[in-house]
Amino acid sequence: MIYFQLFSAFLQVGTFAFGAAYGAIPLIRELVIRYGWFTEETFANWIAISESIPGPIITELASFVGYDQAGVLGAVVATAAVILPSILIVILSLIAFEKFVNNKYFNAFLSGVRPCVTDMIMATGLHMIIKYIGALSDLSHTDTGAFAVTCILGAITALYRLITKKSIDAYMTIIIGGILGAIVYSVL
Amino acid sequence: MNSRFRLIADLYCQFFKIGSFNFGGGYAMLTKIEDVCVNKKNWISREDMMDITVISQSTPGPIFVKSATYIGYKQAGIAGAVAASGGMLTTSFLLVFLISTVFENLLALPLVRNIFRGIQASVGYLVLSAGLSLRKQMPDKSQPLAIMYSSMLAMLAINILGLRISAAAIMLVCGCIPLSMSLIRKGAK
Repeated sequence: MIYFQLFSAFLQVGTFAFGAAYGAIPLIRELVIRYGWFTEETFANWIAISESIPGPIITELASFVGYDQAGVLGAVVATAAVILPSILIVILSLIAFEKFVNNKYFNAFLSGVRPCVTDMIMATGLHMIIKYIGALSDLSHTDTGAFAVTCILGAITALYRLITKKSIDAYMTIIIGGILGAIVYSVL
Repeated sequence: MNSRFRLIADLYCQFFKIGSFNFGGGYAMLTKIEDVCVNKKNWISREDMMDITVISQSTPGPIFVKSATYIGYKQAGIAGAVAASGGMLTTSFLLVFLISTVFENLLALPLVRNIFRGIQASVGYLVLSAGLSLRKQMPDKSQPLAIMYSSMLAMLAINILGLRISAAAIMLVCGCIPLSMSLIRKGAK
């Protein structure tokens, strides 16, 4: 039953999506690949699209997965499931803000979850880079274009950071990636 | 009843506007919410804004939905919460549909396909640097290094070896380590 599957999957994502927008990426990626809903490429496309349109990345990914798997109703189910925990949490904290947010044990729990999330996001990013280049399967399948884009993008961002002391923002990364893709893959 | 209906409609419209023109991510949006809901509409106080920020940082889920729910619920209960969150998400929901329907056709064009192959290669980078900047915002950096490295290694191992261990399970374990430590400390007292 696809609706139930979508609902339970995205309920889980909504419950554990600590750490701003990207906190949900490791969770969604895990589900999408486990259920075979998407390929790695489609997932990457949709992260870039969600990042470029207004609104939260989590709900946009949920709507897209839902729509792709089960049409409009699927999109509604997945989106509702992903925001349900947030709505409940906020209402709960409005009823008992002090008890909930200032609770010592809750904060102790969070102090462990936060560092875990940051590094899970980083690990997911690293794995996406490595996997996309194709270095994990066997070396004859390595995508030289992706390798070139990754290297040039890495160099540009490092240079930008060196000069401005700031990290390059997400839109610029996507735009540069797109331009590099257009150049590199038409040359290859 | 009529004024309540008008309030709910207004909640929907205001959050529809906020959600439609937001490109700066969750925290950039909080200033916009403050502008509309504190200064113009007097829906919430400045202290409420602080509470929203604290709740957003310490609970899971998108800030968009949490802030809209908070304000909507305070104004008009569950219906207000649903109206505000719904307004916040309408534009992005419609955009996803629109893009879904044309995207496959666009990808058939060689240039678009090449552009997206480049973008795909840079998305991993995007995710990696999002994790890095979250790490920099961490309040205390001394204690959780062990948790950081072990969860990074665990996640990489799971991904590469294709293990069926959920990321959520790792998060629960990592949360329970300092939790049990503080419980033990309390027990020792």
